[in-house]
This record gives sequence, structure tokens and C-alpha cells, in this order.
Amino acid sequence: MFLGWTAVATAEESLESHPGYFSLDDLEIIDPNGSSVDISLQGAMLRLVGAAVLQEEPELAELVSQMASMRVLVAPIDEIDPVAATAAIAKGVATLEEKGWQRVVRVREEGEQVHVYLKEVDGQIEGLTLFVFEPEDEMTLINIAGRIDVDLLGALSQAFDVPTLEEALAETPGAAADAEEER
Amino acid sequence: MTERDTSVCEPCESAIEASLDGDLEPARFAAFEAHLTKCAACAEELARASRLRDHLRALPRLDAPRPVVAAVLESARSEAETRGRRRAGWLGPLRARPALAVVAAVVLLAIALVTSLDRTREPSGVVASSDPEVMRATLETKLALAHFARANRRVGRGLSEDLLRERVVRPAVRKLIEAPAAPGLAIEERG
Repeated sequence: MFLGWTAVATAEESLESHPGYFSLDDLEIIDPNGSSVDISLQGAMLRLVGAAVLQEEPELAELVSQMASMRVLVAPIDEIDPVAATAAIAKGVATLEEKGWQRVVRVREEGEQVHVYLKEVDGQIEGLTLFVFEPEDEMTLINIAGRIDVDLLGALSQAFDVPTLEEALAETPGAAADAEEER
Repeated sequence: MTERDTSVCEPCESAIEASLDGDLEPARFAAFEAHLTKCAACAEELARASRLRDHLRALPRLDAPRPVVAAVLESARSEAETRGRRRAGWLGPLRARPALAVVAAVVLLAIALVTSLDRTREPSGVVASSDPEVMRATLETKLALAHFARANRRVGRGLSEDLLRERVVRPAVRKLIEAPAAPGLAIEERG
């Protein structure tokens, strides 16, 4: 038990020291328990995913096997206080810039906010953080740590459809039990 | 930045573009070729336009969101108009401002990178592993990527023309003007 805890703690510490890692939880704006989507995948599991899709989807395998972690938080806008969201985004942006992340996109228009930051180390993209706040829709926070082929990431991600995958996830073995447990 | 006095004969402006496109009638083409042997300015302009076309064709073909392309083209059009250099066809404003053509290409490249391209692939729901935990993680990975794609589309939508001009076009123009010209492509400011 103690050994298991130590292993988890070490993995978390090592992830936190990754230059491309950014803790979305520190923004304290989306409650992972209340959000509609909370995906958190890390090294070992991502490598297992990479191995699982290697034959059928080699490009996806290549993409995920380079990742150290991937975190996605999405919450419907009615669960978010817009003032707090703006403050949280400002806090996130300040932290990223302080840590030498490079701003790629900033859009602030009619209440909508989009911020995309990349962390580059020796000419290699090691992290991507994205904040999207849409006043009429939802808030999305994404952090991907690890070597990222932006081209491949963009190309592959276009192929995936949110509703289809949510449906597929709900049908996976154990999904019903997990949902029950969460309740 | 170099200052040049190249005065292309007015009737040749459309002939240059048409000849590059292979649209010139044989009689007009012959007359145009004969004119080129006597008119250095037109010959130089044709060579420049041809080089520019080759450079543009050599650039990687990347798709950018439709509103972004429209914003860049509109921006190029109004800049050409402001400078009083209305020319026929799509090559006109680009020929008048080679730098602008390169900027347009740079913008498309930059935006394509930012929005991570629009190369669509066939969706795949195949999960090879039979381990339920890995199967679930694979679907979660794909769902995470799907959310990334959804957020990315918003990035594309949110990029207004103002933002493009301020954040992409102007810095790119500055860089192009300050940096040494690309081989074989003179970056010029006329007028």
C-alpha cells in the first residue's frame, strides 16, 4: 500500500517537473467532479494505448507514445461563473508566461476567450495548453505534456467525433459501474 | 528594401498574367514575345511574376480555415487598392507587392499550424486491446483529441481580420522586410 502510494507520488512529482506540464486544477475553475468531461491520462497508460493501437492506427500510436500526459476538462457554461473564469484564465496566462510558454493565439471577442500556448525546449514542442471560454456554450481547458507533433495532432484529432466517442465510452465494460460509483 | 523605377507598359500588365496562365491567343502571344525583346521592364516583370509563381507553387500546400483565407485575401486586396495599384486578376496585387504574396503564404502557414491543419481522416473506433482498462483509456484518448479538435475549430473561427493583421500579417511583413530576401525573390516596396 505504502509502496503503491510512493510510486504514484513519484510519478506525479516527475510529471510536475515536466516543462510542458501545466496543472489545470490550479486554476480552480472547473470542478473535476462536476465537469461534463474530465480526462486524465499519463505516461504508462498512454504507452499502453499506443501499443494497443499500433497496428490499426500507427499515427495515433506515434502521437500518444510521445506524450507524458494529457488532461482535458470541459464544463458547460451554466456551471461556470464568467467573472471567476476570466480571473482563472488571467491567472493561467500569467503563470504560463512566467514559465516561458509562448503565446500562439489570443482571442478576446464578445466575451469569448481563446488562449493557446506552446512550450518549446530546444526547438521542440514539449507542451500545449489551451483555454477556451465560450459564453454561450462551454469552457474547455487542455494541457498536453510531452513531445508534440502539432501537425499530426491536428490531423488526427479532426477524425474524432465527441458524441460518437462519448457513446462508445458509455458502452465500455465497467462504465455503468463507474457511473454508479460516482453517484 | 530597394527603390526601383519599373514602368510596365499598361497593355502588358494583363498580358503578363495571361501568358503565365497560358491564356494568351497565339497572335497576341507572338506580339507580346516580340515586345519583350525590346522592353526590359516588361521582360523583368514577367520574369519576376514567373519566379513568384514558382515560389508560391513550391510552398507546402496547407489548408487554412475559410474565414482566415477570406480575411487574408481581403486584406491583400485592400492594401493593393490603397496603393492605387489595381490590376486585373489574382496575380495583380501579388505582383505589385511580392512581399505581400509571401506574407499571405506565411500567414496561411502560421494559421494552419495554429489551427493544426484541416486534414481529415476517416474516424476510427477500433480498439485493438481486449483489456477493458486499456480499451477505455484508448477511447478517452480519442475523446480528448476530439475535444482538442473542437476547441481548435473555435480558434479558427475566433481569428478575426484585425487579429490577423495585428498578430500575424504585420509581424510577418516586418520580418520579411528586415530579413534578407529569400533566394531569387526580391522583396520590394514600390511607389
